Amino acid sequence: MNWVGLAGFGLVILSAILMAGLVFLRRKSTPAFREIPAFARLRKAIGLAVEEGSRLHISLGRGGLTTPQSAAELAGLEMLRRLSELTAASDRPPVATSGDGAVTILSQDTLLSSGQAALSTGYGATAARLTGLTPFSYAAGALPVMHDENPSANVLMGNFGVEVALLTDAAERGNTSTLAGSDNLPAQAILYASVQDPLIGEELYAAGTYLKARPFHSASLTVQDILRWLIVIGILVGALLKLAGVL
Amino acid sequence: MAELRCPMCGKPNSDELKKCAFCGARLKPLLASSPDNRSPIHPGEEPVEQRTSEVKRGIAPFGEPESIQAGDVPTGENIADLEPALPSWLRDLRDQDSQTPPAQPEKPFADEGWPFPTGAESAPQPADAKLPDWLSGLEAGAKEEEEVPDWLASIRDKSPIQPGTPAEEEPIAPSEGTDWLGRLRQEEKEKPAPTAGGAPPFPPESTPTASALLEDLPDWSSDRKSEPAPDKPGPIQAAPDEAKPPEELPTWLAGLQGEPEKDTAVPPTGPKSAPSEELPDWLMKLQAESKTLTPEFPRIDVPFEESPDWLAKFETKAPPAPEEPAAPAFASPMESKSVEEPGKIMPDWLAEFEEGAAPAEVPSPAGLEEAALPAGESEANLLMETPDWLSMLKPEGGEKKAPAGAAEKPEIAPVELPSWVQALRPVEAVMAESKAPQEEEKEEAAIGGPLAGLSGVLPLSPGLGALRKPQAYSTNLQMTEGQQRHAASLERLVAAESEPRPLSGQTRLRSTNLLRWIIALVLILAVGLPLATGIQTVPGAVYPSELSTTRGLINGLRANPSVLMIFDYEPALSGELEAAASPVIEHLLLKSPRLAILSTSPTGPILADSFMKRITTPPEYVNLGYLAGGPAGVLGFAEDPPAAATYTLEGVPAWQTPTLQGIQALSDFAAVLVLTDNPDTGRTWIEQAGLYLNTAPMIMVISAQAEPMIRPYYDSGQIKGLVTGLAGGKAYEQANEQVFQGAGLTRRYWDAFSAGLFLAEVMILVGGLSGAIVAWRVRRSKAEEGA
Amino acid sequence: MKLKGLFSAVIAIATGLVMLVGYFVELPILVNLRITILNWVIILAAVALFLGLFNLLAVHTKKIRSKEKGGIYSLILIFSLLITLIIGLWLRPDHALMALIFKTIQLPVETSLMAMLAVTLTYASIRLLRRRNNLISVIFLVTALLILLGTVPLPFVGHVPILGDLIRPFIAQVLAAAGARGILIGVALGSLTTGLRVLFGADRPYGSDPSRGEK
Repeated sequence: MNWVGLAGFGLVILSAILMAGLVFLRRKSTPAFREIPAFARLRKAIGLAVEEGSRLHISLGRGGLTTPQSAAELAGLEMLRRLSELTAASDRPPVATSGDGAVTILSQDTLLSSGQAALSTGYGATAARLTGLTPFSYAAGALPVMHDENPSANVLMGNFGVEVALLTDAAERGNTSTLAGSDNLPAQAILYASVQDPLIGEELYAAGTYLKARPFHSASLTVQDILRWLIVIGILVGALLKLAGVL
Repeated sequence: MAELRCPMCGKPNSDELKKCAFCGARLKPLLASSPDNRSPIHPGEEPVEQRTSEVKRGIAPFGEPESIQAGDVPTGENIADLEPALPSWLRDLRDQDSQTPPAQPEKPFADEGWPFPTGAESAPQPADAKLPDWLSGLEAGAKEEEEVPDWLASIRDKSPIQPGTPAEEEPIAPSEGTDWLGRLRQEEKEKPAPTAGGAPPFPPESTPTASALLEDLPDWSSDRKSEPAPDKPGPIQAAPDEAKPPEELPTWLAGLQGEPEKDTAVPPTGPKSAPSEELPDWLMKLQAESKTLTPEFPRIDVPFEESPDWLAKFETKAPPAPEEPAAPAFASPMESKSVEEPGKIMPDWLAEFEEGAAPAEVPSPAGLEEAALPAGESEANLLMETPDWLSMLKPEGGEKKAPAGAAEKPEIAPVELPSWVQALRPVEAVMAESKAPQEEEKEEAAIGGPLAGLSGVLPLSPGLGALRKPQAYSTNLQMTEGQQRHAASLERLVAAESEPRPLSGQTRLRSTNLLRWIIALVLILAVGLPLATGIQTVPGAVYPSELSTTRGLINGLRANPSVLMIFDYEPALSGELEAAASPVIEHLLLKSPRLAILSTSPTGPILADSFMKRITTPPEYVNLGYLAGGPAGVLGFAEDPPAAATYTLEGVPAWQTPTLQGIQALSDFAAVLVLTDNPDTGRTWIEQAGLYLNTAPMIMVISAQAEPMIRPYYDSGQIKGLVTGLAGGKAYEQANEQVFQGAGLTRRYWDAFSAGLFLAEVMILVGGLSGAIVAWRVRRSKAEEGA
Repeated sequence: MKLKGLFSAVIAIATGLVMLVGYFVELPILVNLRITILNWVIILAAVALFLGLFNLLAVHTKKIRSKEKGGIYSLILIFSLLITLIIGLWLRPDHALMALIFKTIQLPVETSLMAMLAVTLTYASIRLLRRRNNLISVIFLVTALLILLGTVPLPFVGHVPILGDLIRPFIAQVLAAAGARGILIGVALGSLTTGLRVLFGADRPYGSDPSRGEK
């Protein structure tokens, strides 16, 4: 193992230790995080959806679980689980769309398990849908869901590319609120221009904490902050050393 | 069980009831308490005369009163034993009267038209009638003691006594001691009796006067007047009755009615004739009240200690009243009140004072005759007939006529409530207070009529009395100004809490299709015209820095190199990527490479195949098809390419073809050319496969959108060559002009691309500026409205 | 049902730990195990793609049966899918017919959608300041304009050196790259903690979560 690998392995171990320690140390206290307006509006949108008896549309993007974008897909799946639990009392369960087969299977399992936990009978095998295998075919397949299903809100969380502009444009045409977040930089730029409350950068991975603060979610955000500061310090120190000629 | 008819509703009720079960009116008039049952006299019925001996006495100091029922023969009793208990003044009277001859019995009130039946209606008793028991005792006692007073003797002479009266009854002999009665009569003449307000219950001509009262005396009183004077007058001695003309009245009674007394034999009793003690209160009251005789009959109190023995003898228990029909109805309402009990002497006008009296039984006229007193003793009888029970009589109607509120003093003085407490009182409480006077009025309504003196009775008129317009009550809450202000401020606070707070910062713009159509039209024209006309509007070329490096790498490849080409772009971006990659591949084809095509996208192999078939002289290539697994697949292919991609797209073992002969590892390739539009895909190939390339360079042709993420890898040396988007392709193509003649794909796209991009910039600039101006004006107007 | 969740969690956690440790620690047993698991993952990803295809068929079949809005398009989709599948299995993907279908149907459709993106993005850029009127939005628009101006020479004007050689490279290669790196570092950290939550069993996207009361 070279030093890069060793450093990476050490970083993983350190993160695991920090996360476990924070979980056990912060059992009784909830850390305070900054307010993200997107999640505040999402809570209101959820309430409106339940009251109106309408459904939510959760789109998980086109990424796969075997790609580096799997973390965004996992964050989207966690959001899907949480939203399905919150809207279990609604007349219509949420509908999930994705552009990957494995993600479609997982989203279907998530919806069914949440529906069974809530004793809801509205969750069927077609609650999760594979709308396309390519990004634009996936976006093209998701547009009818947004038009015909009349969702009260759209939640786009996952790995999206530039095709997310088609989804946000369709949401604007339908005058529905949209919460969107992607780990793709061009998609983030598009989301900033077309969505009221985009999730930029790491805010995508904070959804679980803001919707329902569980110990591991809160600890993971804290670990991210700690590691970020460590990286900042390392970059600064490395730059200084580079300037000094040491490196 | 006897039935009583209610005087108000006329419905039959049980005689055991005191109040009517239908209307709640009293069945029995309010008379002096008497344990005896007396049948009430109902309206329309004729009152039945009763003898005094048959009237039960009230409370007496000498034991339980005994009432003599109709038909019963009063038992004679020797009242000489009771002589010591007589008051002295009564003894004096008795002595004085014993010396005076018995006067003719007079019919009291005979000429006054007294509506009530009097003893005059009954047959006069013979003079030699047997004295009643209670009077006989008096006679015997009188012989032994002092003389009978004149007033008593006069009474004895005047009041007729029935011959059939019991021997025990002693006639009351009027004596000279009755001067005071004459005085009363005198005074009565001088002062006419005032009448009550309103219509009297009985006609004016029948106003009860002393004479009328005297006429009301039962027969026994008239019999006693006719009896001879006893030898020894007792306290009250009944003189033998003599036939007394109805016009003659006892002097004492005549004085009550205010007429000159013809018979002056009875000297007015005065203080000197009276015993050393004063006149009995009941007499004085009677004297006083006779002056003001009104329909409200005065209260006559007879002190117990002054009641004569003969009166006490009548305080005996009366046997239960036999079930006889009710007394005949009286001619006037007042008649219904004069309920008499058998064995109890009570004038009708005094009967109303008895409360809760049992339905009195009207004795038969025979009983009354038997109990008649001598005529001469009528006056004395009347005086003496005011029994103790009369002293106990209190006009309860008068008491109840007083306002209910005034009669009761509140134990707790009413506190003045503050205004806000008064305002909180319910409307019912306000109405109850306002209703109190009405109830008081109702309490006072029981005046006059047969139910005079009773309270809580229904009015005489049908319905609820006089109809009045109901009082209007305000439903508005009584509040002061300060309370109103406080209530208004509280209401505002509560309303403000319930008002939904508008969401801030959520402005949702309306989608305008017109703008979309305009943008689309402009862009179509901008792009279509140069393509259609072939006009070239963009002069010059741009040579990026990485262009030379990339060209150098390709120029440095040996002849017939094996090159791995990765087609990882989507069909949507095939136009840009193919335009950017065409000059690079054309430059590479100059080396006659052996190409291996691979893709991690499902559509990659087909895109690659279509791209290669557009080349005029395509080289030999092997299409390895789709590589599943993403980075894992790339890593697997990088580690062992034959194992990861065994067959070609046609199903032929790929690594045994001449194209890939001698290639077993990734490092065996001369170069790796990655065509991708996705920066993540590019990073994947760089990160996963870069370690396994060794000296083979990795060249990437990327879309313009992936440049920010991929350039650092170029800058760090992880990739050796980089061509970015249409601009890079244009520059590379321009660099190949020396080799490739004619305009390439990039050249054709470049002018359209430039025009379209320029017009998009213009629209963005203009639209942005207009949006900024509109937003600024909206913000300013909101600020002005807020100010 | 509880045992199923526990069994899934055990497999997921064990596999993740093997892959993680095997990537850093070069032990022969771990390397072999990791490669084997990778091969299984590749196969499963392909199978998942096939399962997704079945899901697509089920959704649109239900839409046709319930006669929902757009059911005719679902019928066309299913018909096209079956035709393409049959031809591909029968004639193989490299057949000219397959290429023809791809070039005449899929390629134009997707490129058209990409072209619509130009209109959509231009429209979104025009409405940006009305939707979000702040300094960041102004900077965003100015940056976008500068990049566009520096990317292609202006018509009839040509290349503007200050735009093409100075501003655009500085923005794209310095500012945008720095920002992109920072975002990518944050995304990487988020991916790291998300992966750790899966390894710890706190997140179970693969099935029911007993901690939530799910069976």
